[in-house]
Amino acid sequence: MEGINGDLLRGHLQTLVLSALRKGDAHGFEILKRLEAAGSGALQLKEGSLYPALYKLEAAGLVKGAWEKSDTPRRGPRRRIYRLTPSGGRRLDEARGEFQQFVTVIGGILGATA
Amino acid sequence: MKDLMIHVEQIVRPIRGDWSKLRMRRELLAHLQSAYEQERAGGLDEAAAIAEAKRRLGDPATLREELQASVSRLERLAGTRFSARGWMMLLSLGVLLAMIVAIAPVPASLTSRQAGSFASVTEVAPAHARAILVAGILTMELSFLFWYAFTTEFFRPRMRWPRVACAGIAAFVAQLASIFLVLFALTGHAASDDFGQVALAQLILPAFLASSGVVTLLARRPMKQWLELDIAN
Repeated sequence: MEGINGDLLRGHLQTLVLSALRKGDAHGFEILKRLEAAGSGALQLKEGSLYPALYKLEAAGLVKGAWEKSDTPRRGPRRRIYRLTPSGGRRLDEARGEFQQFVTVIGGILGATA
Repeated sequence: MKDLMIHVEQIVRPIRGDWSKLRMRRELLAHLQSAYEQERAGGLDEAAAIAEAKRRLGDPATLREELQASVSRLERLAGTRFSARGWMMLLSLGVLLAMIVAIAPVPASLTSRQAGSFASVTEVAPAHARAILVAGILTMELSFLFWYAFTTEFFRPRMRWPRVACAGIAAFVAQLASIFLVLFALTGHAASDDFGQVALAQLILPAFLASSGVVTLLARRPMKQWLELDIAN
């Protein structure tokens, strides 16, 4: 499968993050692994881009972050765990609807099967 | 680990912002650490795993721009430092203000004092009063600059206590002098009876700035290890 690079993903990354968090709370690296798994390796995301997207989502109240507890049995710096807020869930549902419409309309114009 | 920290610091340090930068540093480091461990588990040697983890994170300049865009306007403003151009503009404004005062009409209080309605200890001719007023305003501006130098010291990676003390003392002395010069120019007496009270009132600003500085210092303690990193290369 041909890869989908960062330029094509721009504008959708925040929705993808919301979607990954619907599966449960996760830190940045875990969110990335979920996205890679869901995209079957086709998403060619610059991993750092995930964090500005998370900060914007948090500022908008769509996700909520909290530092993992210091007694976590893990070496290295503490990670920030994100969870989807109720408004984040609603935004995800809206984005899904918008994207379906986009695919139907643009797919129809391009002659692809939506 | 230090190599990864330096990479993170090269990305984050130039960002205009303040309180959210520590979070960026910690999260990016945690991410790089996880990526590094993944690459090591995949069979890469240490140097190659570090290089791959950095590559996966993306182009530092692009990431910096994206992170900068996620910083609120308020925080950007808080993280703004005066450049040499900014200082020159500030000084020019100060000189302009002094010039305006120098050519402005004589203040009403001076006129009334000259007319004898003001109880003055020392008579000052209006021309001298105007010069004293200009000197007072210039001294006040000087005190602001000293206070700025005093406050910014708390934000430096390595705080220089002698500079903090010198800037603080100079700022306080300039502030006191400016108050008395302005008072003297406007009323003809330097409030000698109320010297203690006036001086005490002038302690409010230094006390506020010093306590804010201490709070800043404590809040920035976790950043110390980051700010001490040499990111030049």
